[in-house]
Amino acid sequence: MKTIEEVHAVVSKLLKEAGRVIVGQEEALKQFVIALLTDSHAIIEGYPGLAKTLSIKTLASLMDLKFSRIQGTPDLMPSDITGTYILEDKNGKREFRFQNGPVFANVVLFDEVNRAVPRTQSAILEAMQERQVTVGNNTFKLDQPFFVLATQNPIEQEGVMPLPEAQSDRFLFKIKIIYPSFAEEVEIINRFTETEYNPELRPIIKKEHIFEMQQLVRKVPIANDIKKYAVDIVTATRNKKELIEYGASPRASIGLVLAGKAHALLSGRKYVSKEDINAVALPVLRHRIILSFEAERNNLSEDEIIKKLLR
Amino acid sequence: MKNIEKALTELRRSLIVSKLFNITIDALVVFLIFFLVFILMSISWFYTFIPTVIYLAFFTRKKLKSIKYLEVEKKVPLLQEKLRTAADNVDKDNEIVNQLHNEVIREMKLIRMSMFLDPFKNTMKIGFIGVLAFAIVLSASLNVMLFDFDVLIKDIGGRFGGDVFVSDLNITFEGGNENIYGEESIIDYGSEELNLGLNTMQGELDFERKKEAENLNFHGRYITQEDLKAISDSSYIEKKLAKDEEEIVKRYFNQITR
Repeated sequence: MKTIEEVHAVVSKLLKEAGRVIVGQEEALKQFVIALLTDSHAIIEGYPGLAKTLSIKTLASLMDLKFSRIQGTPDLMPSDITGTYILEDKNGKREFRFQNGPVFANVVLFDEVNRAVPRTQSAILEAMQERQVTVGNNTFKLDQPFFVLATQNPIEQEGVMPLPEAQSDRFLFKIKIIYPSFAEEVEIINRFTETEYNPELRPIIKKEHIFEMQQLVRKVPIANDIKKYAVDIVTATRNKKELIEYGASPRASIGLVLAGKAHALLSGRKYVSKEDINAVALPVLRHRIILSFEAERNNLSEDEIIKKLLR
Repeated sequence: MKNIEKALTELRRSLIVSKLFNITIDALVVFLIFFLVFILMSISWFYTFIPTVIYLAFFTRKKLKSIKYLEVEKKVPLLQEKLRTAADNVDKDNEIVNQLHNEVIREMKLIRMSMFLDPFKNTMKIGFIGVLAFAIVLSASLNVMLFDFDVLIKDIGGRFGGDVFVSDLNITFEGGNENIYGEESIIDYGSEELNLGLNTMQGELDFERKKEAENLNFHGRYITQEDLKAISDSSYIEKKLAKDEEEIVKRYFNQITR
């Protein structure tokens, strides 16, 4: 996969195929693909029953990637994620063998990450950052590509442990799954109530294509003015003290430009436009800023404030 | 040098030329405005070069510094953000950048030099230049002068230098026969100023167009020794006036000093 046209065609086909299973949510699906193409991770926030898990599972099948799911609970231990040594009886000899945890997959869905204790949350940090897990004295490399999607439920706040800022900063995107429109909801009913809807999904993209696309993303050129525009937005989050208590880090600037490149590639453009930066600004920044009391008092959301910073 | 580099250099050169053209037109307008003002103030027109050169130096630097591809992108929307990206990544070499460079080179053919020369503005400027030129010729031929800047300066200087009386000054004669100005003995310095107007558009004196000298009041005027001098026109010294014309001049001066 060497040209933008090829990538554009393949991703369009991928999203179209995903549409056979998922009704609506085109924007969210596109953001999943962007996060994957930038070799990053994403937090998903949405109310229950909005096909978060189904979307991820569908994309993983279409990309021929190994999928695993971890359910966040307060008693979830780090070893439940990374894996652990088990004692095995082999030819009369007992020896320890490492049993891979669910993190040994290409697409890991960490459902309700904010229900897990911080110790368990941070267990996945090494995996996300270093693409490896260390158990005891041994380090195990994870299979590539490695893509973590952590979901959060925005309504049930009792007994949850929100991700620390340092940890949420490591996710490129915070993708919001919104309610479907009326027509989409009617279509959902049609699909899933009349017959057992289970369309056969054939992989459209192979692993090596994903690597090629990831390399291609970094090659998309960007004008200095657009880079400065991205940095302007991020620094503005730090300077708008009346609305934002803590602004985004330079990691947000990197994420904004990188995601902008992927967005340009998916749009079939050979360069990053201001439009691309604006399109990815909300998911890149919304989990990286902490609103001031003034903003909360005025009932302003992160998205509303970020929109004010965009030109 | 890559093709994109050549194309961008060519584009930059065209932009510079268009900017210089606009600056030259503007400088000409500035020159003519000052020319007219200086003529009306009786200041030597050579001084017009000072504001013109200052204008040229300041705006040439400013306009040339302001040359940006964004200006081209505004005129050719198809190149929006593309041109700047291609220019900023001219040193990079990968399949996407190369594709972009080729695309930009193709679309650069849509750029026309005329896009940077605003026809309405330039027509207005050229029209204004015509009006100014006409006003200059008219004011010079009619000898229109709002006030004499030299006199104003001397008046200001005189206020600080104290009163000078005309009778205390001696007339000096330069470059010619003083007989032509009449009898010195009959010159009577009075309190009236003799104002002789010469048409600056004509190189030679036209004796046919003589008129009565106006009497101006010296009151409130401050004059210096330099004000009282008579200089023969070179044509008189070199060509020798005819006897009858010499008589006319003598008679003229005799009459005005009567």
